[in-house]
Amino acid sequence: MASMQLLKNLSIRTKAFAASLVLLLCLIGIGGNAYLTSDRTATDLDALTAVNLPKQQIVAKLETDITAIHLKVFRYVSWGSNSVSASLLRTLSAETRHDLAAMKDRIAALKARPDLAPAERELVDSLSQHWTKYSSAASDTLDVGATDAPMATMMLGGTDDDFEKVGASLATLSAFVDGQTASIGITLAGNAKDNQRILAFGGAAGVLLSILVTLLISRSIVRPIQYVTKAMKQVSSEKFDLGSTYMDRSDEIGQMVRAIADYRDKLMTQNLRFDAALNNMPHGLAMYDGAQRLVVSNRRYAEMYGMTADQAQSGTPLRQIIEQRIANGLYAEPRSEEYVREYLAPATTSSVRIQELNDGRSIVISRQAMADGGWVITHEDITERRRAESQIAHMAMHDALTDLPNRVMLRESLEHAISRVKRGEVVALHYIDLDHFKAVNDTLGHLVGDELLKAVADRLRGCVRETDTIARLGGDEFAVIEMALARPNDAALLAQRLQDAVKAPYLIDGNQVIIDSSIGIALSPDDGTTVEELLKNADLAAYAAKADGRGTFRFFEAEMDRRIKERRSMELDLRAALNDAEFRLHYQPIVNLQTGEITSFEALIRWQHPTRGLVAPSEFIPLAEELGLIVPIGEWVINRACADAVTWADHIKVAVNLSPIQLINKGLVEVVTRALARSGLPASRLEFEITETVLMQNTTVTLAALHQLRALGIHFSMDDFGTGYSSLSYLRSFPFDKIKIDRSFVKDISGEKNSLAIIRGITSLAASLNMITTIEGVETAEQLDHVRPLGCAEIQGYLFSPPKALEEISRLLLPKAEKKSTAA
Amino acid sequence: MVKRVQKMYAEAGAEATFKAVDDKSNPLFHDRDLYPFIYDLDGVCVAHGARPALVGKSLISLKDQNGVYLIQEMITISKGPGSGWVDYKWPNPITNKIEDKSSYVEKMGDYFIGVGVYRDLPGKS
Repeated sequence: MASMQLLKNLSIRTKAFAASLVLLLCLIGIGGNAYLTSDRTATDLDALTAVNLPKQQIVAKLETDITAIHLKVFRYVSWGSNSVSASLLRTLSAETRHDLAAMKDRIAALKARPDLAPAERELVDSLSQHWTKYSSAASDTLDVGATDAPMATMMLGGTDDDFEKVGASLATLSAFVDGQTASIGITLAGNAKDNQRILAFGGAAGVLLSILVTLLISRSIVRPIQYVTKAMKQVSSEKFDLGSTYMDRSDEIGQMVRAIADYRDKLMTQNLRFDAALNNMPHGLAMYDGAQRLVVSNRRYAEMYGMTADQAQSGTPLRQIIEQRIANGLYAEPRSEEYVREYLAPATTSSVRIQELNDGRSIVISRQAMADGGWVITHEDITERRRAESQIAHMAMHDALTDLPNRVMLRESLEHAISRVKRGEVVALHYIDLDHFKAVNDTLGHLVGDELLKAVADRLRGCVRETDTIARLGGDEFAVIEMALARPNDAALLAQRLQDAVKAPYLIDGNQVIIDSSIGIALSPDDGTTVEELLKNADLAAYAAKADGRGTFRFFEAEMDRRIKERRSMELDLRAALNDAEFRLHYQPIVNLQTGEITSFEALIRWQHPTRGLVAPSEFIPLAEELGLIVPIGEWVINRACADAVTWADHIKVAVNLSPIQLINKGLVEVVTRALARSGLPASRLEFEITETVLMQNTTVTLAALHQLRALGIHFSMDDFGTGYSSLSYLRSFPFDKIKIDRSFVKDISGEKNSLAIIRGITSLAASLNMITTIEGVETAEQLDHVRPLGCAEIQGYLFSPPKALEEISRLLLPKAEKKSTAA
Repeated sequence: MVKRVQKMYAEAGAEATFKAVDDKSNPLFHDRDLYPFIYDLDGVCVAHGARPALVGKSLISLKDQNGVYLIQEMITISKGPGSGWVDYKWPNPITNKIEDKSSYVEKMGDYFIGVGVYRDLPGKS
C-alpha cells in the first residue's frame, strides 16, 4: 500500500529510470540461473557412466551366459539320448558343471555390489534364489543323464521351468537396470529441458517483468492521462461525478486532476444556480435541437406530463416524448396522431397556443424558434387560473346562497329573451315575492331563513323548463323568465305551479315552515319590450298581488301603472315638501268639561300642496311612514308645536302625535330635548299622543324612549282607545296620564246604549288607574249632553272648534286669557 | 504290490524297504514293467524300482510332456485322501520309451508309495 502510494507520488522521470534498472536486474538474474543449471547436468552424467552403464553390461552378459548354460544342459541330454560317445558326454558335463559354478560366483559378485538400490538388491536376491534352484535342477538332470537318458529328458521339462524363472528374474532385473539408466537419461533430458526452460522462462519472466514494469509505469502515467481526458470530457458534458481518483497524488497527474476538479466545482456551482432557477420555475421549460431531440428541460416539464426523470433525459427524441404523453392518456384518443404531426412540424416560427389535456388541464404552450431549427418551449398550466376566472365569472352572475342566476344575469337573459320576442315569440316575466319572509327570519333566525330560501330555489327549479331562467333578485325575491309561450294563459298556469310548489310545507332544522308567495306577471311584447319596462311592470304586478292580500298572482295592468306613478310622484313631492315649507300645523282645542276652559291644543299636520291644495294626513302619513320620511317630518312637527305653544298661556299644553316609526328611531329623545330647549317650553306643557300599535312593537328601544321622555316631565296619552285590540295590558305596560276615547264611540252615542256603557267603563277604569279621559269627536250639543254625566274630564271636537291655524287660535285664546286674567 | 511294500515298511522299517525296492533282482517288488517307487512328501525320490539314478533327487518340479506335475499330484493325493490314481507319461523300463502310465499311490508314513501300469501295451498288462 505504502509502495503503491510511493509509486503514485514519484515523478514520471524517476519512474522511467526505475523501470530501466528493473530490466537490467532481470537480465542478470536469467544469466546466473542458466549457469547454475548446467553445472547440475554434469553430475548426473557422471552417475550414468560410472555406475549404471557397467551394471547394465553385467546384467546383459548374465542373460547371454545363462542361456548358453541352459543350452549346454539340453545338448547334454540330447547327446545322451542319441548315443554320443561317452568321452564327449563327460567333457560336456564337466564343462557345464563348471559354467554353473562360475555363474554362481558371478551372481554372488553382483549381489555383493555396494551401489545397488534397495529394490535392485531384492531383484538380485530373487535371481540368486532362482539360480540356485535351477543350478540344482540342472546338475540333477546331468547326474540322471549320465545313466538314464530317457529320465533326463523327462526332467528337462522341470529344469526348463526353473530356467524360465531365472530368465524372468533376470529380465526383471535387466528391465530395472534399464529403467534406472532411462531414468537418469530422463533426468538428464529433464535437466536439459530445465536449462532450456530456465532460459525460456527466465526470458519470458524478464519480458513479463518488463511488460509489468511498463504496464505499471503506463498505469501510473497513461491511465491517469486517459482518466484526465475522460474526466475533461465528462465535465464538459456535465457529468460531475469524478470521484477522488488521483486527487491526492503529488505528481504532474495529481496537479492536472486537481485543476480539473476546481474547474468542475466552478461549473457545478454555476449549474446548481442554473438548475435552481430552472427547476423553481412554475412553468415547464424545454429546449429541443434541430434534430428534434431534447437538449435540456426542467423538472416541472416532466412533472406536468407524468414523465419520469429518465423519460425526459437530454437526447430523447421529441417523438418519443409525445408518444409517452399519448401513452399516459393525456390526449384525446382519436387525435393522438394529429398531435404527433402537429408537434413534429418543423419549428420555423414562434407560436403560442392553448392545449386542452384529457385530464381537464389547460396548458399554454409558447414556442420560440431558434436559428439552428431547434426551439425553446414553455408550458404553463393555467387550469387553476381558468378555474378561478370562471368561478369569479360565475360568482358575478350568480347568487351565492342559492347558486341561482342573480339580477345581472337575469337582465342578460331577459335581453336575450326580448330579442326572441322580436322574432314573434311571447315571453313572460314572473316576479315572485315570498310573503312574510321577514317573520321567518325574526322568529327562527337567519340560518333557517337562508335554508328556506335554498329550499324555495330548489322547488322553483323543479317547476320550469330548461329554456326558462330562474333568478334570485335578492332578499326574498325571485324571478322566472318563461320563454316561448303558446298562449298568455300558460303564464298563469306556471304562476300557479310556482305558487303551489312554494306553498307546500318545509321541514328545516326540525321546524315546520309554511310560506306563501305573491307573483306578478308581465308579458312581452304586450307589457313592454325593454328590460326596464318588463322588470318594473312585473314588480308592479307583484305589488298589486301583495296588496290583494298576498298568496296570489296578478297580471300587470295599465291601472297599476297609473296608481304607482301617482304614488311615485307623491313620494317626490313629499320629499320636496319639507324643504319647500309646505307643511302647516293646525290646532284643535281640548276643553275641560267642568270649567269649559281650554286645557290644551292637539297639533295636527296639514300639507299645503302647490297644485293639489290641502292634502289630508290620511293620504300622505302612511306613505311618509313607509318611506321613513315621518322621522324628519315628525321632528319638524315637534319643533313647530313647541315654538308655537310657548306663545300661549302657561297652563295650556300642546299635544303632539308620535308615530311608531319615530319611536324606533334612536334620535327622538335628543330631538325632543333640543326642541324644548330651543323653544323654552317647559316639558310639563308637552304631551305626546301614541296609539297602542306603538306598544304592540313593545321593543326595548321603544319602551326605553318612552320612559326617557316621561322622565323629562312630558305627559303621555293613549290615543284612539277602544279601536283595535284595546288590550288592558298596554295600559299596564306604560304609565299613561290620559286616555283618549275614540271618536267612533261618540258618533253613535245617541242610539247606542253600549257606547255609553263602554265610555263609562273606560272612564271609571281610567279614574281607578289615576288617569284622566278625553272624549274625541264631540260635534253636537246632544252628544255633549250624553257624555257629560259619564265622568270624562275633557272633550274635544267640532262643537267647540275645528282645528285652526295658529293665528286663529290666538284670537280664540286671547279673549279667554283676558277673561281669565280679568277674572283673576 | 503296494500292499506288499506297505507290509514290509511296517514290519522291516524304511531302510530295508527302500533297499528291497531298489533291488531289481528282488522279484517280490519287480514284475515285468511293474515296480514300486517311494518319495518323501517333499518330492525327493528315496527308492525307485526301475530308475536308481533318481534316488536322492528332488523331483517335485518334474512334469511330463503334457505338462502334468505328477509328483506334486501324488503328494496332494497322499496328504489328502491318502490314496488314489494319477495318469501321466513316464519312460517304460522295458522299452525305454515314454508311454502313458496310470499309477496307484498311497501314503506310507512320511512317504508315499506308488505302483503304475503302462497302458500303451495292453497285451502285456
